[in-house]
Amino acid sequence: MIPEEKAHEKLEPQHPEKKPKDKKQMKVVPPNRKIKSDNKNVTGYLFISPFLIGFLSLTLFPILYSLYLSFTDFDLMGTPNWIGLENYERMFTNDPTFWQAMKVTFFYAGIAVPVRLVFALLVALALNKVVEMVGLYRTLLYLPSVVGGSIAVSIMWRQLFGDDGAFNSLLATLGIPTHSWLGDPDTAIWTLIVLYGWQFGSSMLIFLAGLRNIPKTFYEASSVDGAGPLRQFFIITIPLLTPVILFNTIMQVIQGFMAFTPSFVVTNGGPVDSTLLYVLYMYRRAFEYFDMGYASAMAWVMLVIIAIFTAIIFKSSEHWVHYEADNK
Amino acid sequence: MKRNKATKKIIQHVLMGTFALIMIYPLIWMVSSSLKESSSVFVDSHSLIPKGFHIENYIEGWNGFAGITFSTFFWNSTVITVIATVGSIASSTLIAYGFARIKFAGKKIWFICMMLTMMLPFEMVMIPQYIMFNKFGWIDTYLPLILPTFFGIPFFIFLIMQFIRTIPMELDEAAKIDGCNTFDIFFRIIVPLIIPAMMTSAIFSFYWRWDDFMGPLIYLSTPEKYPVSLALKLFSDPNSVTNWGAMFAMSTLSILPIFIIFFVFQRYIVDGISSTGMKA
Amino acid sequence: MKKKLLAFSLMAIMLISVLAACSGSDDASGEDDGGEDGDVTTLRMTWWGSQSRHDQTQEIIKKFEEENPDIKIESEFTGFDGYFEKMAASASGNNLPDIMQQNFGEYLNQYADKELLADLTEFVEDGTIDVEGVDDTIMESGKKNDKLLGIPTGTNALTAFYNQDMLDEAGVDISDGEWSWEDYEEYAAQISDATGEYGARLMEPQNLFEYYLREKGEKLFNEDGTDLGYEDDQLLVDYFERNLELKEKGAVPGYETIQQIKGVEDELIARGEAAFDFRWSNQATALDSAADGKPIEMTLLPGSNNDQGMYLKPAMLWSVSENSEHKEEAAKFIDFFVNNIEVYEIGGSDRGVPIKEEIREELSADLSETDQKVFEYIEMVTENSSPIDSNFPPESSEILGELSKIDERVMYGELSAEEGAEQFRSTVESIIAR
Repeated sequence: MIPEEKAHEKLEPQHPEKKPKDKKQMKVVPPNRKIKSDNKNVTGYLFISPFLIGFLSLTLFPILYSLYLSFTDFDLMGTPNWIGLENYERMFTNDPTFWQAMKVTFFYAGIAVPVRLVFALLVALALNKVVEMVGLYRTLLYLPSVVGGSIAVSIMWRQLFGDDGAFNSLLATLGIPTHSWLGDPDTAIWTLIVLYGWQFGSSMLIFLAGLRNIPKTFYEASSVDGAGPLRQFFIITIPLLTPVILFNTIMQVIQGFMAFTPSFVVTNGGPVDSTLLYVLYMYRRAFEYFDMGYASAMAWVMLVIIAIFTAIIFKSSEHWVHYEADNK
Repeated sequence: MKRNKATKKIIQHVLMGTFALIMIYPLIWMVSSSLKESSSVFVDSHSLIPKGFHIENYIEGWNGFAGITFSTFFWNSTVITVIATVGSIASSTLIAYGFARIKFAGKKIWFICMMLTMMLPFEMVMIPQYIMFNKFGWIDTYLPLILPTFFGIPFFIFLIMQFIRTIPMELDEAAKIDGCNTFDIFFRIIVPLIIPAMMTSAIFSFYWRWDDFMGPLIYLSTPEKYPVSLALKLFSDPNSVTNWGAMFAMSTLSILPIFIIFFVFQRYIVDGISSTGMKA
Repeated sequence: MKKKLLAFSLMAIMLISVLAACSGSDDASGEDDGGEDGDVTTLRMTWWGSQSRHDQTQEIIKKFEEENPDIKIESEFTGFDGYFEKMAASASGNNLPDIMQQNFGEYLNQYADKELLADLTEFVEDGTIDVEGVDDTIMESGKKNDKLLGIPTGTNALTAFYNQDMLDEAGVDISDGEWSWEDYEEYAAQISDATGEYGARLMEPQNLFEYYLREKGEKLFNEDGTDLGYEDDQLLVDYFERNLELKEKGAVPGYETIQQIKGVEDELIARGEAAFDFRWSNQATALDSAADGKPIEMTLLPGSNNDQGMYLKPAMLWSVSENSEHKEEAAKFIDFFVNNIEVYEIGGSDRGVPIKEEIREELSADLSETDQKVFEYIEMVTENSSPIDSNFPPESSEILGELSKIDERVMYGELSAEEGAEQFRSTVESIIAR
């Protein structure tokens, strides 16, 4: 974990901000610069103090404890015994199901995350154009995201993709051969990917808030300069939206890798483990096989993987994310 | 020209309307199932129109369990959700401003810590967390569900940070010249501008708390304290008879508050800007 | 500076509201701290279930409290989803309820292993829990390492459910429960030819392979639960091949179809799309209510030695936690549950068929049609069964999960029956060796 954190540290997301900001301050209040910056430390810690208190008092212990458990044979109810790296060793050398779950998760996240992001962005752009009844549309499109992981969703989804379900009826009407989507190990994962895409509401909402945050004056000014809608999209909308795109990408990567409910409630990992998402397998190991130590080790492996992806995205963001606050 | 515009508008609405309908088809299905006879939920699961109108599903469902009705569950959910949402948005906004605008020593490390806390699934920290809260004597109270939200939710902190960083620095500097200090800038300049982000966070927070199942499951033991999300699970037992009709009925009702909250609050996502005059 | 004060006071307000929230909920929890309150002992009790079980159990508790005014029971019920996760958390906080509904099999074994459950032997010996006349094989199922860790709430048994109409159409009769595996195959094919539907639902191996072994005089696990109990892989090969053959004939569906079933009420037999279905007897109510008037009957599973294969299983067990300070009061409740006819007048066979014969007899007069069928069937099983095997290793749920997975792969044609059987053995060995 330690080298990971270091890698992470290097891509400190805000650093373009520092230098120019200092220069500005010098200009504004040159004489008290030193006092000011001491003050800044206090002010900064004051603002983030709720986080610090919560982190140190409530969050840190469970996290460290789970790290400790990953080196033990904790079986959920007994006393944990230290077994060193055994869990990790077993995971990498002697557990084909672990690799299967890893494969499924990478495939799932690799497709579902971009699909949801693109979908959410396109719909947000469309909604940004419609003026009448936009509130209603927004609500309707957000709704799928609020049915969450209830039993209702599980039954609904199995119904939708069942042999006599609505999706097959649609295919039949269009003259395309129907298929047993949930029953075929090659296609079952796709129903979960569609489910993930379908619940795009939260990303859409964030995009929408981001779009609304772009001052109209920018568009007006560029219209005067003779920029067409397409050009405006590329020189105004996309650049000004990049902070939000960064946010959505990182959050979706985290959520995509940690997805659990869909395969838990809809397919329960089947058929033949073809939809066994990583976290579902972890959950099973912890609570069904009483193998909490091993499951904790799995959680930390996943944390490292997600942290690497997040770090890469942060690193790359220096090149494509445009912050109003930094470029001055 | 005018007619063209009207046609375009109609096409736009037809497209959006159809799309919206496809998207909410499964929800319509759920509402329709909530009106079907419990035992036939599966037999005519493919049809959207229920045979008959079994409103009694709603009555049976509302009656709840062992004499505790859904009024109790809805009230509990409301209490937890409202307090937790207010707490998480207020604290997350403060923290986000600290991270996004103020330069202080150790900021990177704390930011990384914050991001890392999002990368462990709750199921894995739940047992240690239970042990800890149990030591505090918080079991069977709402504290484990509410209190942590007052220390900020990383998702919202990061979200609000990203919005703060789209606000030009000139605004801060202009304010500084006018004699505002950091706190003035935060309350007078930044907060009004990030209302869309705060509202978005509030909508999410509301929904997540409302929908949260695992937390209440392990921390609450008295059924009178259960929220709706937990109560919904009390309908089903894979090995015995499940009152599906009632379950669907209550699932439908449980979505209503989220629907209303969203419908009411989504306009602030849009209006937040115009009220500050930046829309021009 | 003033502004800073303002910000500080804002934060102070926030903190105060937090504290207010704290004390608010603390008050709410103060009243149910448990323990003795004057002369009244408060017990905590948990169970999982569905709406009707929650309502009924609450009524049973009320009856109990009326008879035992010095005991108050606080119920903490949930759905099945998450019940054992919640219990695991409670166990880690030494916070298990006094009385808990337990599941036979891996959960009971796990709790037994960790010594989280109280030995009830002394309460049975001193008569606090009266189990006079309960079949030994039933009581045996609540024992682990010579300790009595749970009293069955009622019994269950594997059942061959069948649709009488479809059998009539094909001219098949199995009501006496005397049918061999060959008969089963023949009938399934016959029925599927005659009706155009499936003859049987595909057998799922989690419980049925164990039955298959028992019927052949073998066991799934050896005496001390350290290895498989059968030597010859041909047994599993045969089991796979029977299913494969039926699937080829179109007499049973493959997993493509099974995967899509959304719940007990959606089972093929309830929809009239299969004539046989082997599952637990306590699902009769759910099947009957969904079958919409189709005559669904119950009989013994196939096999010429089915009396050797069949067994009675506790539907659930009542256990008392080791950390309970009121074990005797908890035992009193269990006694009430086992011996009081009102319990079953309220709850019917929801927690299995009562373990006491006199209760079964007394009750039989005013049973629902389905319950009557179930009671009669359990009577039939009692006469034609052998004791349940409880020598399952702690890893059994993982092992049974592997078996299902291999079964799926065999049925999908990814593995041959021989490869499947071999792979199962090697997987089990590596799991147990760990």
